[in-house]
Amino acid sequence: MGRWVFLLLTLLALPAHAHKPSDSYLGITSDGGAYRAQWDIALRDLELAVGLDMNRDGEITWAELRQRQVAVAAYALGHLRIETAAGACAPEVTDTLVEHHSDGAYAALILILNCPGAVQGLNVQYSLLFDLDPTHRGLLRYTADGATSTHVLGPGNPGVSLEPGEANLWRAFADYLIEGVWHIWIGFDHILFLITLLLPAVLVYRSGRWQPADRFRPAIIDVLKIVTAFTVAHSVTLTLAVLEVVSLPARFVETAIAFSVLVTALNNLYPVFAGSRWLLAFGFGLIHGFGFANVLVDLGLARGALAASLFGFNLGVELGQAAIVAVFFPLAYLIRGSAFYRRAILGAGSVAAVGIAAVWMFERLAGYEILGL
Amino acid sequence: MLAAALWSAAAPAEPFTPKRDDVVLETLPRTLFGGGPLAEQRARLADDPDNLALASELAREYITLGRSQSDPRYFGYAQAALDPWWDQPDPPAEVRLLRATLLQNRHHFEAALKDLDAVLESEPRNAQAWLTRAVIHQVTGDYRAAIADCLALTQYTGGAIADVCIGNTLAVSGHAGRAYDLLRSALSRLRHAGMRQWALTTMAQITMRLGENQRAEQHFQQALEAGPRDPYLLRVYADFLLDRDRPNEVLELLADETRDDALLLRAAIAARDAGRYGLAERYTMLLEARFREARLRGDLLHLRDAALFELELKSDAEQALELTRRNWRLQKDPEDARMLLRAAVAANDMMAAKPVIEWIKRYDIEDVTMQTLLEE
Repeated sequence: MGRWVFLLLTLLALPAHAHKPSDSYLGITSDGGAYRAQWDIALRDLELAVGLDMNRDGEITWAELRQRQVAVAAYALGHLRIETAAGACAPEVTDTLVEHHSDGAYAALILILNCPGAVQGLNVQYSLLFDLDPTHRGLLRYTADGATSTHVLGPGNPGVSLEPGEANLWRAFADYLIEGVWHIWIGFDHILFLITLLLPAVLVYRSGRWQPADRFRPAIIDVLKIVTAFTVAHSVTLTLAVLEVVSLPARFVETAIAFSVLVTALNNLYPVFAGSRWLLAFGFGLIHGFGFANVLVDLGLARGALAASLFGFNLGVELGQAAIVAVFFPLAYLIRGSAFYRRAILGAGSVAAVGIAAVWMFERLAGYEILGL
Repeated sequence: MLAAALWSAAAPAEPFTPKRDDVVLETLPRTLFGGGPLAEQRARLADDPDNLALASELAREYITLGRSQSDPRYFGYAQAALDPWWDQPDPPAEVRLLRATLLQNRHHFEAALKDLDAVLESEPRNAQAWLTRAVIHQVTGDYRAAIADCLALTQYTGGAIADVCIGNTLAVSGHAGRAYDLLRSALSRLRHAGMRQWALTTMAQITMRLGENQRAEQHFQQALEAGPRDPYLLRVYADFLLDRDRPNEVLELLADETRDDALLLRAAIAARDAGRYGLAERYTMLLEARFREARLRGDLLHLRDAALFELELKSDAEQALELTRRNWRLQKDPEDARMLLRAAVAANDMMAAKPVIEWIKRYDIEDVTMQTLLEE
């Protein structure tokens, strides 16, 4: 019946276990030309690996840890290989302290890395505890030139190459650039606002009707004015919101964005701002910026690479926008003369946009979903 | 990216030098390091690492320990014991079964199922494999397959065990009444304490969901008496007591269990409900640190509890909702559903609750708490 016990306990094991598995925390910082590090290793793990509880009373005291610090250092350093382009480093433990983490006490080893040559980048190979506990992970944090990157090292990926600050900033920039492009692509309300605003760009309002623009230049200038105004406005508020200088509740922002689409679409049907739609672009662009900021906050920003991330994200949004406009504008210009453009696309399209915007406003204010857009 | 932000937010206290030599830094779990039979087994395996029988036995011990202590380090040790076979595509059936258990524990359900399918092909009489596979099917929402696996059990074990297996699946797939009857009849035929405890726990949960509070209380007490202190049972009972506004009993129940994150969370909520704000504050800070460090590692297994934490102790309904939505993508059982509903109601965002509402309708789940939430 002993086997059944095992069975049973297995079954009830399905709800998630209530601790985390074993981790160590390795923080490497570049200090001028030299590298220092602090490596926190759990006392429980060290007990398993080298033995700390010499008197076997089930408790690890400060005295016991101190007595074993040479063995601990040897074990730790024996499972860490660091090298630069100029050759292998010779890390040494200069001090052993204690640190408490959420799951117990850790030995905090203070290290200097002693790397040869001018410091450019590090390659770290980590193998602590893997033979005893393959679920152990090394959580590595690398700080250099004001930028921080974190890496999780496990048996499947025990090594990592760390580049100094610049490259980390570039990576942050690139990551967020892609996020920016993506979020404008999936931001249907932002796109609808922009397109609705740009629909009349290839037309002029004369004698109470929309008529095709005669020349190319005014049309393209109109587009540029609108896009620029929108860009400037949302960049400003995006930055202000992310830096937490200004803060607006998400529900208000989302509803206001829907409102912006409503007003813009109505303006197409009953032009109040015919030639100066860039004002609408600017005014509402301020609101859209807050919308983007909510997204960025959800993505999480690394303090160390804030400027790069923010700039990258903003630029990504611009590029995404530019791509949409680049597709829309030539097509619109080509068919601007047709009644189809004026009646179906501008006319009926704007009516549809009014409808959608009204539903959005209701959804966002009331908290229900109708359209699912 | 996100991890870097978390790490700087975590900013642990500076490392320090203890003032005195006899300061106790860490108390070790007795079983592992006390020099008892487990240590002996470890030593024997270290001398003979390719010994399948030794390795499997040790791995089983570790898994049992890991479960009863709610400590996943043990599962790592179990995997290490099986290291000579772990990466083999076709290891001996014994190892495969253990590997499936460990994988299922980490919620790698597909990989676990693959191993179990292979075991059952070569050893169709392996009752444990049937049972484990049934539970995975249940957790992943494949109720038909789960019941099929349970039924296969009747050929190889006593009917009572199969009944408990079936009852467990029926309980979460909308057949609460039938499940209860099945479990009650099985109970009279079960001898083994662990099995009885399991059946009683499920019966308690069923009656709880149906709103039969007195009977639920009875079954919980019976379950507690039927076997050793089981973290899962404690968690479910604590939730029941909290719902019934009995926080002081929760504190009593969980007095020695604060190592376990899920139980610490319930204790923190109970402390707050009982007006013991100092204690609640202390527990909350502990929990915050634990959740943060789990996230650094990329650990997604705490999502439902993290949501509960955000909702009850940080009063952040939006964040709670976000966490339950992520959780719902990974697993769907009545507790996940209930949590998502709670969060949606609190955040005033019924749009988010749609998938759960559909799930409830599809499986005809009867649950008093959910109904109340839906009516709000």
